[in-house]
Amino acid sequence: MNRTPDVELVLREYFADDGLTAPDYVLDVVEGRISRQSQRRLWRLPWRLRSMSNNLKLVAGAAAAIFLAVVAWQLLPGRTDGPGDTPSAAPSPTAALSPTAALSPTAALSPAAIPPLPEGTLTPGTYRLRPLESAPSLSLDVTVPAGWIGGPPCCLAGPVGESNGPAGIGLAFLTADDIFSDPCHWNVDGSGPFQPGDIEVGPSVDELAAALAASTAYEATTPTDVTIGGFAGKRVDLELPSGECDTLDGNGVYLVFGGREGYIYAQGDGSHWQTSIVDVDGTRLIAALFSYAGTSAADLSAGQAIVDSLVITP
Amino acid sequence: MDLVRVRVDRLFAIARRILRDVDRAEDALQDALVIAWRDLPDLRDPDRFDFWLQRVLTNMCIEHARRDRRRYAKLEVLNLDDHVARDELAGVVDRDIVDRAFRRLKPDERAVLVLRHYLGYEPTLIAEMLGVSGGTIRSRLHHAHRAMRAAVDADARASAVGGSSA
Repeated sequence: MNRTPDVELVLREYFADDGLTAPDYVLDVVEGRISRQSQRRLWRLPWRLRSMSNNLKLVAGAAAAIFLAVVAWQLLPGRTDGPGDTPSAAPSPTAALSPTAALSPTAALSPAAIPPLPEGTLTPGTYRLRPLESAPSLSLDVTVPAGWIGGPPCCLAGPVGESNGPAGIGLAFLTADDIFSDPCHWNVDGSGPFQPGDIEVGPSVDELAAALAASTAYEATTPTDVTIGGFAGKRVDLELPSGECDTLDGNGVYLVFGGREGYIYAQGDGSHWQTSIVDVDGTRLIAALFSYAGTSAADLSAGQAIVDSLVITP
Repeated sequence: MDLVRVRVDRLFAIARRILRDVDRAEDALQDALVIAWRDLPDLRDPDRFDFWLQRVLTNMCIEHARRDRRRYAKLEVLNLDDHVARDELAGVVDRDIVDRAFRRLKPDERAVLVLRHYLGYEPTLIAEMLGVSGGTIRSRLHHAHRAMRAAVDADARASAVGGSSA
């Protein structure tokens, strides 16, 4: 006698393990391919969840370390199938990732010869950033000390802990037309990163500074006058909350600014954003210097010196 | 690479189940692992490493399946395993019948069935993995189940007829 079986039971049997394993060459091919491809820099790191378990931190750390070890192995001298002069997949403080000798130091170089900001640990010198797709002609020249790290097109990170808490420091150049009223729950339309903030801000520097100062999501100072790169604007310092976002959108990022060119999330708990906003011939440029309670005075001073070195060319 | 090596067989199994083709599964797995390596710094919650890796792979499989869907329509006929004897599922249904029905599903429906019945994920988790609403996943599950059930029922009826005539 026949019967009609439960389709879910049929599917479970259909999908049942058959013992077939992946051929070894699958991973060999992957190793070869990743040796020729850049890994995204550990730049926009998360607002770390306090509930994260230590074991899983170790798992993630091990995953990153293993991947990086593979790349380092591929970079070993004498490997014939290494990446050659292709961009490194995993920047480390090595000469290979620094600007070439011909490009730095830059004290004697003409402005046109200033090298673009490379990815990885920098040799001291002046570098050029073009951080905004919406203003491709806008260039920013910054002079950095030893040990700082380039994260083109927008960013720099300090020598200790990069831009991450509890002791790092970072500098990012952004622009934004709006901000989020709730930086913990910004994924309002469910589309993920780069969506606009729910607080639309007028086009002027003063309006953005006022909007930041008015936010109740973080502590903000009253806007004060500032000049960076020869352009006058406003400075607002933000003290982001520490560990208050238990449920964050987008896998745990804390976003202040909306839009693609404002997308940089808090690099750690309780960070301090020294936010300078200037109008560069119609482009509202934001320079955000991130630091933490554990950031050393020397690194703070170096970060401020980089901001002070800024030369803006519209 | 050890962290990936211990997971690769499971990932390969997922890819094979969605794509129903070993070569395509290898290609999709390789592409997914390269993407995962590239995007690893964006993994913001290490608690979800496996889920994140499976999401990368699943989306890659769907992309591969969509890209080659026309070719798969031919493979559906040409690439079936050669079963001399009837290989039955649940003691009743011919595996080839199920296989044909499964291959006729849209790539995202196949993925949903694999995530639900191979990995055992709840619709809400599948929705998160595929970046769509829970309602969409339930709808895809409903449609895929209905299509599979139609094939199963047809085979059961055919078997009943064949059995009575034997």
